[in-house]
Amino acid sequence: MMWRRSRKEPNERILKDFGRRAFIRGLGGFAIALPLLESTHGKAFAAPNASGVPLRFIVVFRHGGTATNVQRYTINQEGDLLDGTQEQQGHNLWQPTDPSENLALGPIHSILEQHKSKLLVFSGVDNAAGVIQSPYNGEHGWSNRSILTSAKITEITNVVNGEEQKTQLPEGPSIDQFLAQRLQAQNALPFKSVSVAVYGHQYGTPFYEGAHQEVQSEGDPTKAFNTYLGGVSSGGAPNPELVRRQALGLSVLDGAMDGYRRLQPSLSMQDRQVVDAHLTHLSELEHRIKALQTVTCSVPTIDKSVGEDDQEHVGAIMCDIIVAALRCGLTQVATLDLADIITYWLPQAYGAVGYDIGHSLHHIARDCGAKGEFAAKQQDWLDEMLVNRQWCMGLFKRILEGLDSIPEGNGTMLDNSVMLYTSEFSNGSFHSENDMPILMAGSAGGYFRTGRHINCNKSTQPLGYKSNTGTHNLYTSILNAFGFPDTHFGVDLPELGFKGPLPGLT
Amino acid sequence: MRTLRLASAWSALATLALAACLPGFERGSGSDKDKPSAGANSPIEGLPPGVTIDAAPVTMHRLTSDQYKHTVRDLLGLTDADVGPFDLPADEGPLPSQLMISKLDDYAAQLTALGAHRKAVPCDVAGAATDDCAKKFITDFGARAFRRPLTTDETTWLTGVYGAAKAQFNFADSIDVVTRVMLQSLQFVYVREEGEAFANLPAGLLKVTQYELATRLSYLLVDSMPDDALFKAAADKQLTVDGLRTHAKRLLEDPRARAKVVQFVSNWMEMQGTAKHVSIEEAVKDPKRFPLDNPALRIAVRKELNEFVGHVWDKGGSVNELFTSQEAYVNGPLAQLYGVPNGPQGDTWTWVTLPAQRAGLATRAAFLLVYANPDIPSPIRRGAAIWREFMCTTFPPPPPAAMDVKIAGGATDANGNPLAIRDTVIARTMQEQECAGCHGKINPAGFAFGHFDALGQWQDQEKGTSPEGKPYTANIDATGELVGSDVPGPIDGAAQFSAKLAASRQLKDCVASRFWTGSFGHPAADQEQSSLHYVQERLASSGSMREALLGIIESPAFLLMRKGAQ
Repeated sequence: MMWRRSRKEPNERILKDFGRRAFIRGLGGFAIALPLLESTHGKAFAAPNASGVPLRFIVVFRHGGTATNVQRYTINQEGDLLDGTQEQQGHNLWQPTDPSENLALGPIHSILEQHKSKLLVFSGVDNAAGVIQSPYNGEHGWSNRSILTSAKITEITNVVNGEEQKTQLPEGPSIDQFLAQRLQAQNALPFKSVSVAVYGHQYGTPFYEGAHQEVQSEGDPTKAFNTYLGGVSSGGAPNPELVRRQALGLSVLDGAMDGYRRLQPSLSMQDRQVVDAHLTHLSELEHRIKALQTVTCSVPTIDKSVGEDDQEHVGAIMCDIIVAALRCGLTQVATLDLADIITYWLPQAYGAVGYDIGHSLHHIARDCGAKGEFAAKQQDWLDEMLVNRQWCMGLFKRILEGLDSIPEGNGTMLDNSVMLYTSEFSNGSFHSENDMPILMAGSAGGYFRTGRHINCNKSTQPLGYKSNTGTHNLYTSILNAFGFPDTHFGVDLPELGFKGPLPGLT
Repeated sequence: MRTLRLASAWSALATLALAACLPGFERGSGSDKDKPSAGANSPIEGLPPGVTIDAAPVTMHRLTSDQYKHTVRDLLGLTDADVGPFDLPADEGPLPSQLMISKLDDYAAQLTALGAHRKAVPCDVAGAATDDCAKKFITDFGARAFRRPLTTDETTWLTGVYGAAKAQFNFADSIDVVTRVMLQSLQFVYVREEGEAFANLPAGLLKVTQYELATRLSYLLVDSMPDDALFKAAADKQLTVDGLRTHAKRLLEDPRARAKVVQFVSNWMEMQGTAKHVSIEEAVKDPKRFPLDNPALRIAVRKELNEFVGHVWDKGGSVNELFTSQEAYVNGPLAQLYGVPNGPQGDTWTWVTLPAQRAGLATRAAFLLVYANPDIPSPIRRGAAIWREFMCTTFPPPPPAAMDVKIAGGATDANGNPLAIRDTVIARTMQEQECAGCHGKINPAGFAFGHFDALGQWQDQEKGTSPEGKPYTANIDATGELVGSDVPGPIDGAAQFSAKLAASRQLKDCVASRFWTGSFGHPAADQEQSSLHYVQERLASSGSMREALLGIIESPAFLLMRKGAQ
């Protein structure tokens, strides 16, 4: 497998020895990481992708839900959508305007019109694992931990800053990390995944490597750059300072791992799990250094004056880092964790009053219907929501266009990718886990038939909702698209609706 | 904006609530009659009489981000400014994330690059390598980094690391490599306790070792590694109950202990922000309504809170003063906010006495502006915070459709008179039993603060905007009550309310249990209830936070331990 030069980067060099070497290294390099994950799924590994083209998976996760008229429903039970005649607003800025397969983009997606043929927009897909387990069928902790994991959720008590609190943790990995570990076993690139974030208001991460094993994303753009792109050589003679730094780093990691291994036998069960996690992560750091030594690629320059708190500008840099990491063959999986940022730098149609706390602007959705306290402000609210959500969709678009500009095989890198955009809620104001906002781009090398609206809402009523389809079905389809013949992903409960892939995608 | 990454809504500040309220906290019963208690036949001298000799199983715990920074500061002789950038990620579960391990590795490299560890090398690192010198560095620096002398296996491991490095690199680099290994080792990053057997202890109980006690004491009081005097006391086996008390009293005078208590109170009041409300600095306020407000004012508000808590601590740490004192350290804008006559001007800071309407923590701008809407006060946020933070009463989460609802006044009653916020809150929360269960407690606590606007300024009358956008004025009824507490009965206004809080045993027990949880990193376990009860009694009888901390240190739960499940 060779990488073509991209139009944007004429000096890009070819990733040396990509593929063959990496595949051989495969399983051995991650012997520790895999059992952690496989213990919850127990599936055999599939053969590498038949076409030989590496597929990529990218998740853009936008916390806080979207502007929609969905309520909370039991799986496969008929319910009503909001019509706006009561306290709650009744608009859906997410949904395609045509309920049929013909894709007519809704307001939030309208900025993606030129890429419509490469999109799949979903309606009527629930986070069934979340609906089943969450208090009120929708609570932040449960929804964040189940939306990408479809896993069983356990609540623990811990102390943060001296304060006791309850934390919900999943008993299995999120789809991105599950896939990342499988792909890494086939094809050990420097990074199992690239995990970056724009932090703000949110209720914890949705990304998990395995049971109780969260993924923390880097929120500082310069640090993200240094971590993921800082070790990449731009070609020519090896940089002696970089070589020395890498050698010292390997020596340190070797010594650190020796220390942790020596302690393993003497520890209690719980402490041993912590030590095992250190060893897994230290061995990944070691792998990164070694694997990066063989990579040559031109990387973008970023504005290093942008700090973590400068949310207006962090997102775009993170998108560029993701695109560069994929283009340079540093990873096959990338995640962008987008907090529920109320974009105060955009026009404040609703005024400062809505900015009390990140998402309370969104809670206004409950009170700006015809009989709501803020009925007069409904249009302001919709305007602001639309601008805000389109701004977030703009980051998705930035990655999409970055990948689409890189020729690969008979198409572009986007064609050999699956990009997923979702959130922990549909209607944030209701904490709804039904009719999740799900948008995908890229066809996984032609596996998915794109350019369609996949409508799983089975209700025949004009404002009705009924679905037995869950994100676990979609994730099973994604695993299948990557060549893994799984028949289910996540927790196995009879209330789920049905198991297996989501029909009609291929 | 600061990053807010908190986890749960179960512990959340609820603005409307669903079901009957659960008392989240009950005082320890101390009824472990079948277990031995300290007294004349106590196996360990100096334990308080009557307290059950028991302790909880230990699990190793990672240093908090603050503890990590303080520890590298004190280990390497750096300043707070030096270690400022070394924040650890906010991992939620016990397992460390990849980013955590990546940062620990990175920080070890950056800290080593500062070169401060080389002061501990007893020879010239730029000179020729001498293995004896390296070994002495490993032994001496290692004992401070690991907070106890190295075991034989650890010495073998670290001299091995050094030896392997030296085969590849020069002497200075090899010392750096072994330092970087130590700075991300389990022994450095975690507090892990082995304990030791001791005669006559009940089955399963171990004594915390001398070095482990030094570490417990130091993190508890100054949030950092033990100093030389504590290390020496541990080496000389001086850390008996008496010895611990002596060192505790010494450390209580350390500025780091003061800083820790100031931070503790700020965390306790959630002034750093959570997922449910933002920090002092980030709370959004309507600029049209509050011309006095600006970023400098917020910095001043935090400084005032911290100086107040520090001042109370310096004077003996009285909980009563914390809730009733009218002393405040203010500059010009704060004096204006508080309505202090003849206060300082500009950025001149001075101690003043606040007007009689204010007393203690709950009437400071910090509390009042964080627990409010951007434009109008929120009795529900304030009332829920009073119960949750100061009385340790938890409420079940409200239904999602009821969270973060701003309740404004200004609607009109049957006679056309404008309704106050108070009236609207009652109308919206007290009609259905599922809401009234909690709001019957939350609302009356919040109503007492009705005379303070959303920035914390005194208001004679409530001024707002009706749902139709018209300005209205309403009279304020600031009567309230701590319904169902140990200090029931109606009061009028926040100052009276604060006096009630200060008189409450439930509040003192709550403070003691917060100190406990903050000190041990977990709420008191079953085996620790009697020790907690002792600490609560100690705080209640003395009224002093200092005594509560000394009580923790002298309790069986501090001196003893059980091993975690194998």
